[in-house]
Amino acid sequence: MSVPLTLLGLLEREPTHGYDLKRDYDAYFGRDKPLPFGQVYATLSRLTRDGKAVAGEAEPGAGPDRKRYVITELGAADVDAWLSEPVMPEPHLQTVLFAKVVLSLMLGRSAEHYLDIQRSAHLQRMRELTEIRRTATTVDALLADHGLFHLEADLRWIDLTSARLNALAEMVGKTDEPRRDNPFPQSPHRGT
Amino acid sequence: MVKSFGQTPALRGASMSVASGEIVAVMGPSGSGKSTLLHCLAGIFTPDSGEVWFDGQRLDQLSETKRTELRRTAFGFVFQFGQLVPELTAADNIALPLLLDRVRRKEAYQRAESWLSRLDLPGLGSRRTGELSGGQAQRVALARALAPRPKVIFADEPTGSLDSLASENVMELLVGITREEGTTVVLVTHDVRVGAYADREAIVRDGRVTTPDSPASSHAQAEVAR
Amino acid sequence: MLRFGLQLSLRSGREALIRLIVTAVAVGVGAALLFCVLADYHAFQASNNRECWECTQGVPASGQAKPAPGTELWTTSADYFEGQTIERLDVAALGPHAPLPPGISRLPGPGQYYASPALATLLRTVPRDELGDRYPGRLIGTIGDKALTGPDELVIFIGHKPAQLAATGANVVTKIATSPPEQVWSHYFRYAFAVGVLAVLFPMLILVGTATRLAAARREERYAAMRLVGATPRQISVVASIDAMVSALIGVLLGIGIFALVQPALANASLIGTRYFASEVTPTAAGYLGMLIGVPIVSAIAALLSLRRVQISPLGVALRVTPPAPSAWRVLPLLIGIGLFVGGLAMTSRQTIGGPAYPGLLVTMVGLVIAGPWLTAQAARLFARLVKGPSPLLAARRLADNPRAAFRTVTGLVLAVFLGTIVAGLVPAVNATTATPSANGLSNVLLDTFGGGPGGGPFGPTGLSPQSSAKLLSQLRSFNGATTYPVFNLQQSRQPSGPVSVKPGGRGGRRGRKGGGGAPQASGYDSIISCASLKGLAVLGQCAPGLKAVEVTASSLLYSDNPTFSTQPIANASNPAVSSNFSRLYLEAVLIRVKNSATLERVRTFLDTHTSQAGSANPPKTYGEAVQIRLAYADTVSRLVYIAVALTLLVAGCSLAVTVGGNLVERKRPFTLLRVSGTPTATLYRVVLLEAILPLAAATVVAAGTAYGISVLTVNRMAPAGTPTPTLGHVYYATMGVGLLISLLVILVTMPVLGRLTAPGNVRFE
Repeated sequence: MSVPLTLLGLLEREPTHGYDLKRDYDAYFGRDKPLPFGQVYATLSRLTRDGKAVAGEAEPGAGPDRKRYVITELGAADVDAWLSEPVMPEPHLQTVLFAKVVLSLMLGRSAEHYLDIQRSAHLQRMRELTEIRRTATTVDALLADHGLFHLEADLRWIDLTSARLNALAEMVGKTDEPRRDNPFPQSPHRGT
Repeated sequence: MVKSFGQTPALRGASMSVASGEIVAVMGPSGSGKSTLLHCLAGIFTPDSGEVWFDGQRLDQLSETKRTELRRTAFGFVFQFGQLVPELTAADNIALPLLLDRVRRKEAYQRAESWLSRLDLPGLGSRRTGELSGGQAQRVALARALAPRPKVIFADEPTGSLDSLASENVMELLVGITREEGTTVVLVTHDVRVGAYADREAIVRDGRVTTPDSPASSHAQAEVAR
Repeated sequence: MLRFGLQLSLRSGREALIRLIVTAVAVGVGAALLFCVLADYHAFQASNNRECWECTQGVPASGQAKPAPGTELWTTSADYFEGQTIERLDVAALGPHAPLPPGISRLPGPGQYYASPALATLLRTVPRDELGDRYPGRLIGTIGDKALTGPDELVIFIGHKPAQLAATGANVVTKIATSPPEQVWSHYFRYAFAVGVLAVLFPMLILVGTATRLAAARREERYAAMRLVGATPRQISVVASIDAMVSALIGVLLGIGIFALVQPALANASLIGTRYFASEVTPTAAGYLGMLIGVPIVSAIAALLSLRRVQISPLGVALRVTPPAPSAWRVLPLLIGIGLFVGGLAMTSRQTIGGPAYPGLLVTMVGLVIAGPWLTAQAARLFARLVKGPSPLLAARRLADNPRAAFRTVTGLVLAVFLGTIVAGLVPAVNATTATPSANGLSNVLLDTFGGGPGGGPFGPTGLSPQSSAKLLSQLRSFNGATTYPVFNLQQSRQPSGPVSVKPGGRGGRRGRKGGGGAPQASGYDSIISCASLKGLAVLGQCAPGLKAVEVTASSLLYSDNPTFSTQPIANASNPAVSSNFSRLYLEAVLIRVKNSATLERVRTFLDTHTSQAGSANPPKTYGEAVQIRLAYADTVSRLVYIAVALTLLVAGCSLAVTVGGNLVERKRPFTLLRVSGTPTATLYRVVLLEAILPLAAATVVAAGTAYGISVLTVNRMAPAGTPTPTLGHVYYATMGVGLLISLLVILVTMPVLGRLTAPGNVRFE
């Protein structure tokens, strides 16, 4: 689960306080495991250091949580590249897949296209595993089987999500409430 | 290809090509038109518009008689269930297409026997269809499809009514034998683990094929165009 | 539930509608056939049950004509014209209110007569000297239907003066009989009709049953689905019954329509020898009602029975398991039956038929039915071994798989063909025993006798006196195209012959008194015939050379009803010579050879008008006509059997077609997929055809072969020497051929259904 990229992606919607970033992350991606504040700010510092985000003026009040962060062109390019590419298929990928789909929807990109290319990658990997199964020893075959089952589960999820994109998009849109003290206008959506 | 059944459109401009010797898995949600795609490729239906080429000749313009003959000699079919004649034995069922092609009876049955052992069904030649298990029956169906040495095998959910172990057996044999013989396979399935046995996949959605053709077949297309 | 069932039957889409129609048509054809049988039976019964006015008995008048109210003088006799019988009534009222025979409004007076419509037409069209001259007087009206058995019957009521009639020995009648005629053959006819009805009924029941099962097979899936949803078996039964009853009802209505079209042809056809009144050829309201109610009920029962057999569980039709093959022990009853029959034949003597023969025949028939499935299976296996190719393989395997079902449809056929072949084999032999060469040799020889019996009575010689006979003979000799051979009584005149008391015969009455009493003849012969006459009647034998006339025993020749006996030779070299002076002899009879039927009728008319009525015991007829009368009965029986066979063949064909259709439906998916895989339609057509034809052909061949063998054995053993080996005549082959052809056509009609059912396009519906 790539936390920096996820935070960056969340940041791309609009300039955000660190506190709000954590809150959003937990809401979408951190149900079981909320992100510690420390990790949030550490990640944000690193991103700033790498030039992918910029920290805005500090607001009155002490603490780093009062700083508003803005994404840079570099950061946006990183998010773009991340969302355009499939993840290497292997078991236990659900969280990443989910993140990518949700973020694509939030950012107005074609989640469908992403799912398609992810599906292709999964299928390719399944083909490789099947070939291994056919020719390998029993132990390797069992491992390949294990992988195949998980990939199959992913693919099932991909199919289901594909069919539910509209509902998902609505849901994502709905929970994206405008902030109370938002001096900036509505975040420009990065269309694809 | 475009194909509608009455008011219901099944294919809305689906295109695909298959190279010789390839194993292609046609997958997609139900109602996407993947079976119709297979039927059009195999010459069972003629599309309302579009072309179907096989081995340099246009399939969709042949008469029904010629297409029937082509299906008998160049294609082999495996369906999900119900294709074996119930009152015939396994050997009879396998020998049937050979007999239809006027192979002499003795030879036809010898070949059927050899296919029975090749498909791991030794000694089941004299069993009737109703006495075989699902997996055994599908293997007999596969043998029947392979016996006349077709150029293409069209399989429509061949493992649809089998459990996973039987499915694996059938797919192993299907892929193994067709690779040995160099037979092309077009396989329609909704099961991704079955589809994983193929060389590539073609995803059908809403009557269209959404995956690109294989490089080999694109090349072949270019050849034809030239 | 009823409404649901109705909806399901009538509105289930095009394919279901086609199924409904096909079943209804099949039932309709069977129903129409049954209607035809019922109609003919009704007509037969009606004719059998009419008032038998000619059975009227009376008291001999003894020459007196006492006037009394409510009485009349009455004489009935029979006459012939061109092979047809003419019923003749001579009547003379003795007072007012004389009993009136049916069909007329008043008694004919002297010089008047009533004739039946057919006879009236003949009287108009035929030359008077061939027919009309026999009847004194003029035609004053036609006889109504009440007195006739059919539109073709020839009947005449002639009026006379009482004194005239009394002199010729009439009876005094006060009441005309109204009870139906007692015919010895009517029992046999009734049995034959019953057989005919059964021959059509059983196959038709099977047809209805299989048609229903065919429909049920398709609805199995539907019923299974219903069961899944929670319908109880009882509810499914209701739906299935309604389904069956609807198509059966439509079928019967269709059958009524078909019958209405066919009825005029049926009424005009004299299938059993005589034509019936068209108004009687109807199944009557009872018949229609019975079918309308009965056939749907039977159909519903068949549907319920078939449901039981299929055992619909919620998970769909139970997996079809191959039934065990029929065992070879099934042939045993057949062999036993044949053995019994042959044994019985061996024990047969002239007097009695060997005991085991009848049960042997019965057991053979039962044995055929029992052995059928085994024979079918063997025939299928043999066929598969001999004939190459995929179609025979498929067909033969199917038959060998379930031979019982295949044989079930042809069971009725087997029995019908068996009976038909036996009849076809035996009837010609029976006919041959009647139409012997000697009988044929005298077929155009007319016989007229003038005495009460052979050998004379206690009153002396009988026949025409020498003077009358000389006159008659010279008149007869003047006929062109007729050669007369007189036969004289041996007894010389000893006393003047008194009035001969003779009793007028009833219809078909036999009065020949063989072996007369009276003056004993030392030689044992009773008649005299000239050798020249014998030469002209070659089959009767020859005199010793050089003789002019001989004594012979002519009692058989003149008085026997059976042409086999009456045409035996009467003379050979051992017959004693006698004087050829016939001038003082009484003429007992004349035999007249006529060259054509016109001459025959003229001679008959002449004899009728120029010889006294009292003289004739039987009306003059040729030996050929006598043969025909005897042949007519056998002919009628064989006609009945042929009709039954033809009907059964037809119904069996329909039944087969329906079964075949059902088989198709069962194998719809594998056949469709075979076609998808490139099997040409022609192959599948061939399979279906073979599956239907093989049992049909095998059953026919086996049944016909067995029956033919039996008839050959029977004839060889029982018929007189010289009877030719039975060969099956044209009618037999025609009947069988047409029946089989129509069956074939019916089966062929199912081909297009096969085509549509297995169209590769259907593979869409996975």
